[in-house]
Amino acid sequence: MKEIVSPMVGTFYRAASPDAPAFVEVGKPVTEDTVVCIIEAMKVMNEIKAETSGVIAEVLADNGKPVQFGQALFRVR
Amino acid sequence: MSIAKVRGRAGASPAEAPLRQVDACPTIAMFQKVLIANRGEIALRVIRACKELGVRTLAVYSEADVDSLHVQLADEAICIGAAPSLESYLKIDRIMSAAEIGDVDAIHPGYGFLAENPHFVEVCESCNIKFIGPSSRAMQSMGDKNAAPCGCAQSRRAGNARQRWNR
Repeated sequence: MKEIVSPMVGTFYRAASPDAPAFVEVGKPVTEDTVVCIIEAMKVMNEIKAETSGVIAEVLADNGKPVQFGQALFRVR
Repeated sequence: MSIAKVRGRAGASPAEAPLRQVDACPTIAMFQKVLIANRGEIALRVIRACKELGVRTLAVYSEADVDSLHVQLADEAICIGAAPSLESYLKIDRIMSAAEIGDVDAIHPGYGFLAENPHFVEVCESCNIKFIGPSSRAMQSMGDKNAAPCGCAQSRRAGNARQRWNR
């Protein structure tokens, strides 16, 4: 079990726009380059890559909520 | 109720007024919430002053300072980066996004770190957050101690002293 952690302080978004589908859902396989979420910091949308490979086991952060540096966002199996 | 109502002045016995205590009066406090962009004893002093004034505090910390007292004593705390200060306390974008998330009115830099960084003051101004300290212009002229005719007494004295030494 690995964790994808937030590399910055910002607001966590699971999709590219409010009506777009989420980047990843539980059960979806990811590779190092898969974009898993967006973190908005100072009006800049930063795409966050998985940087690990496996299958998403759990989403640990809430959409639209602030996250801090080092906070676990996803659990990967 | 006055904010300057201070108990425990000279003359009062310690038993009567063991602590210097100022009544919290949020209606006349300048800010609702302040981010403290520093750590350790410096941050603790700012937190204490804010508590006396009834101002809420937001601490920022690096991964090395998770267990610090300033993180525990502030009303809220946000982790902004890894242990080296270049990746946390000195990273302006991290501090500003913490300020944005925490919805603060002002940033107190303490001393050291970003306290004498004119660029940081400009960033605060552009984000509509009050920097508790001198303006960026004053900071720039203070930093340049050779600029004698800048109108700032301390810098002028420093400039004069240097000229005397050079003679």
